[in-house]
Amino acid sequence: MKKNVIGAGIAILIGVAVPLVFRSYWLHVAIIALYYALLASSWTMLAGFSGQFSFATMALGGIGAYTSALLVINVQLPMWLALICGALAATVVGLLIGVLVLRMRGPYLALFTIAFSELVRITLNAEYQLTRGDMGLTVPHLYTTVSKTPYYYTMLGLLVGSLLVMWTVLRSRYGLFFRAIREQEEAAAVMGVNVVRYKIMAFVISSFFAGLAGSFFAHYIGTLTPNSMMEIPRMGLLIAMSVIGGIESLAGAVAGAVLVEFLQEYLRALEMWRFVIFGLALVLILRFSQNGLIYPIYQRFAARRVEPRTVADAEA
Amino acid sequence: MKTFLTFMGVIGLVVCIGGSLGWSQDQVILGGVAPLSAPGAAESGAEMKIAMEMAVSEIGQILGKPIKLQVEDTRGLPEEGTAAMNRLADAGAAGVVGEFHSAVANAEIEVANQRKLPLIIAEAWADVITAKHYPYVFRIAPANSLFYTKVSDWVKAIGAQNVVAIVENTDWGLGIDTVFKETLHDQKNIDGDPVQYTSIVAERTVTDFTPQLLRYKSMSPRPDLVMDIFTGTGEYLIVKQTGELGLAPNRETLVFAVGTSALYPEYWETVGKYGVFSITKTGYHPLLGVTPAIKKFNAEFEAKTGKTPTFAAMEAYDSIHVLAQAIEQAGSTASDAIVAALEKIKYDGVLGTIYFSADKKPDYMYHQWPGAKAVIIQYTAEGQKYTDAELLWPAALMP
Amino acid sequence: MDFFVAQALNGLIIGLLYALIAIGLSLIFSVLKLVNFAHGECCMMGAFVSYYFSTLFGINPLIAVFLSMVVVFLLGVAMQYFFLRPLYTGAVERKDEYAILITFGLGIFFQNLAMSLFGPWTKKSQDFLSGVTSIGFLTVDNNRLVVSFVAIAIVLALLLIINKTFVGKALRAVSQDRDAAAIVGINSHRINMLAFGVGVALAGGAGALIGPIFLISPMMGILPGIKSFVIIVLGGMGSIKGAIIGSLLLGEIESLGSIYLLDPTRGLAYKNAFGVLLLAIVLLVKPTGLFGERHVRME
Repeated sequence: MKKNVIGAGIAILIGVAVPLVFRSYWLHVAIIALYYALLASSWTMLAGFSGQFSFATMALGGIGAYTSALLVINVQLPMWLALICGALAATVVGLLIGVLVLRMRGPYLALFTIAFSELVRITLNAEYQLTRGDMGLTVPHLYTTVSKTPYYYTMLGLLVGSLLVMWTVLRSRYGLFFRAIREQEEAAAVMGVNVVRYKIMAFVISSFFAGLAGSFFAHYIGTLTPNSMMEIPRMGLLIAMSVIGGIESLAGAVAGAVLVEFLQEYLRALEMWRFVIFGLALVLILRFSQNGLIYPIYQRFAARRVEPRTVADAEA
Repeated sequence: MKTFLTFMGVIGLVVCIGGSLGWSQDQVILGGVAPLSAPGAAESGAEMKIAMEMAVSEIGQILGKPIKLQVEDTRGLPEEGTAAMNRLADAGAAGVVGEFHSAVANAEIEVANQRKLPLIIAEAWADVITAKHYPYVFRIAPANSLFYTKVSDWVKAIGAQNVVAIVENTDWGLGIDTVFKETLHDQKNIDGDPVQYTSIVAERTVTDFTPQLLRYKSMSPRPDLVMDIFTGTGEYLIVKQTGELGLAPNRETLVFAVGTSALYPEYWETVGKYGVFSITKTGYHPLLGVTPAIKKFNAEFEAKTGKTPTFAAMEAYDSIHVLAQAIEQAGSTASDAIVAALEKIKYDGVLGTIYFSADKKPDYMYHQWPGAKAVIIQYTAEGQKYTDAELLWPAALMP
Repeated sequence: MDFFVAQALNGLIIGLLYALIAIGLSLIFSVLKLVNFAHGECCMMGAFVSYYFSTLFGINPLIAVFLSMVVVFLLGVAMQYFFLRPLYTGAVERKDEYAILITFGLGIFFQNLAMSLFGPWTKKSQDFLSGVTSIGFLTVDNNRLVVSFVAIAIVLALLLIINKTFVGKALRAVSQDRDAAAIVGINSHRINMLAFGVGVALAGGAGALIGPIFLISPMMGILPGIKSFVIIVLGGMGSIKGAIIGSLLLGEIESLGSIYLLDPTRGLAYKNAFGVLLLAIVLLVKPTGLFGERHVRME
């Protein structure tokens, strides 16, 4: 526990120091890496901790992005308010999906969300009078300055804050319910856990952070297109990030996202082959090391003592 | 967390090494932007890249320094375009040329303006690119309005009454759609009859256009002209399915493949016999005059690739030359000096004498090359090269 | 009226192609109790394999379709052996999760591999039969006719095998009760391999058949994949009958819906969205689908 806090502190310090070292373009890459880190950790919270596999994270991010962008453009809403509205819009959509699909067990969520992502992409494309579709929506920037440093610190702040909230939720009794549902849904139900309610809750929280990441991205990057933001291969890359980092750890998701994003920039010379490598890494890690690549290394070095915890502990 | 730290360390190291590479003051860096992979039009991008390389190796040196050409892949995605422009600005490029997709160009001009990086758009037609009057943005390709108003004239001149279109939802496609709505719909054709223009907008991933084409087929009177305002796969599929349904090309109805994809050999691979008598447009055709410069360029390009270049390659080639000459004339790589030189430039290129207009009326004319030409051609045999196709318009050029 | 019939016929032909893909997915689900999220990519692989067979080796395109089915069958067997077998040997802890992620991951891998190997360009497979057939007011491309008949033949052959042969009986036995099937001496690993192989081979065959009609590219699998997901939920998870009816239904809804439901200038833009909307309605009203009996889950 203590070790974790110290580790997190050092990681944040390094994060804060990044703009001192990186030049403009690599700072941009760092911002994008943190954006993916937020998406990946929101996905990990849902998949790794409560066992629900959604392919809609990018689409929910897209809903956040477009909501926020359109509110600023058409209603002249203040940027920060729009950012929150974007996140809330994703949350509401997440709630609707949850109510519709999470009553059922089995692969329904995965099936529905993959189709839902496509629906969002098609709708944003079709309503081009409003969204400009594939032509790209020009979005006002968050700050007037050209410098990337303020964006970097904003994104870092959002990420750290979000991780803190997710971590708190996961350590609370709700987190234990999530895990109980993941391990043994029937047993959890028998023990009196309202399975559907907690499943929906996990989904809604995760949607909020996806939406938040998306709305920030919109006001950072300045141009939105549905195809590049939420195409299925992009969701694949996001999942590869989480899986490489370790599907059962938020820190793993962050590390995985940072690693993959930097590698994909660094390996540009390999062109499309770099995505082949990520795809291969994804399936091999799933097959042979289900806890990811980074998390097991961490465990070996840190040799963490496992704290036995029960629902009763959490309630106390 | 320890691993996380190690990672950050490793990444930091990697980045420092990466950043230090290729940072040398003894060369002039010219940037290129083009779609080199999907979902962009990679065929055209590849062609443009080769043409840029040809131009650079011909020029050799600028201001007595060697040239380094750095071509970035924009994948046909606006965000990638923004990132590519930023990478080029960070690398210290003196100027950038290229681009094929209007939506991407539209994102790139923002960076060009923000970071004061001269940008010559080679092959993106949307009016808005030059209509924003950004001082750092120039264009060699024709603007949509410049050319498609002339297409409207042609449609009226052939006496068409019922024109139908399937339009891709991009700046380029919708821009053309707007031009036709304004200059064709409800206007009188050569016989004095009003022209009816109907269009359907579709997304780039649609593959079956049959229901909409059947609807067009059931119109009465039968359409005179089907406008296929798509690029890439969609452009091929519309010509193919139009043919399969017996809608066009035939005595009653013509099909006009508006996108550049109809100039490549792949067009014939996919549309086969339905491409015979189909119509398309090109910015270069031998009947427009074959200057020694074109001859030389074509021969070199064909020797290098075994393919006939399209005007996208020629535009990219000329753009590099124009940029290089502007830097020489400016005597430095300072962006404002280059812009000033570009505003005064006169360069005899493959496509003609290139210069940039300073007019702000009409909107799209600013920093636009007004001499950009485009003609309407018709294929008359299966597998025909576009250079052998018949010239339809302008009529004055008919042999 | 003429116009309506022409639209309906187009929908039927598209529906038959969907059926081929969706039946494969349904077969895999009924036996292995998992959704193959790489199904669309298997469809794409089939298309490319048959394209290269017919263009590089000059094999008749129709024969190339069957050869590509064999190749995709072998690919499926390999996928099953290396990546899915651990599900049934107890080597994997959370089976549902693993099954979703590994098949999705394989799909992404195939997409990127195809993009690198074959390039992003669109290719067209050779025509099965060029020209068009006109009957009265109806004009249909011959390729589409050939494809429809081949699709019908493959579906009928498959139904025959499942219902009338010993292998079919074994498939059904494993799909109903894996343990009981093992007791009567059915090697369930082999049946898994067979079901997965046949399932993806059907998708591969569909891809190969689509080739001359809708052209092929590395990303061509995404939409058929998503549509087959919609169809199996619509028809009921694991029901072959449901998959067939669901496919025909979706084909018609897309063809007629994009003309009659919305204003015509928008119809085309929303065409690929109809299936998803239908899916949402089905999940709301009858989550088990048209012919599904229960919620199935891997235990």
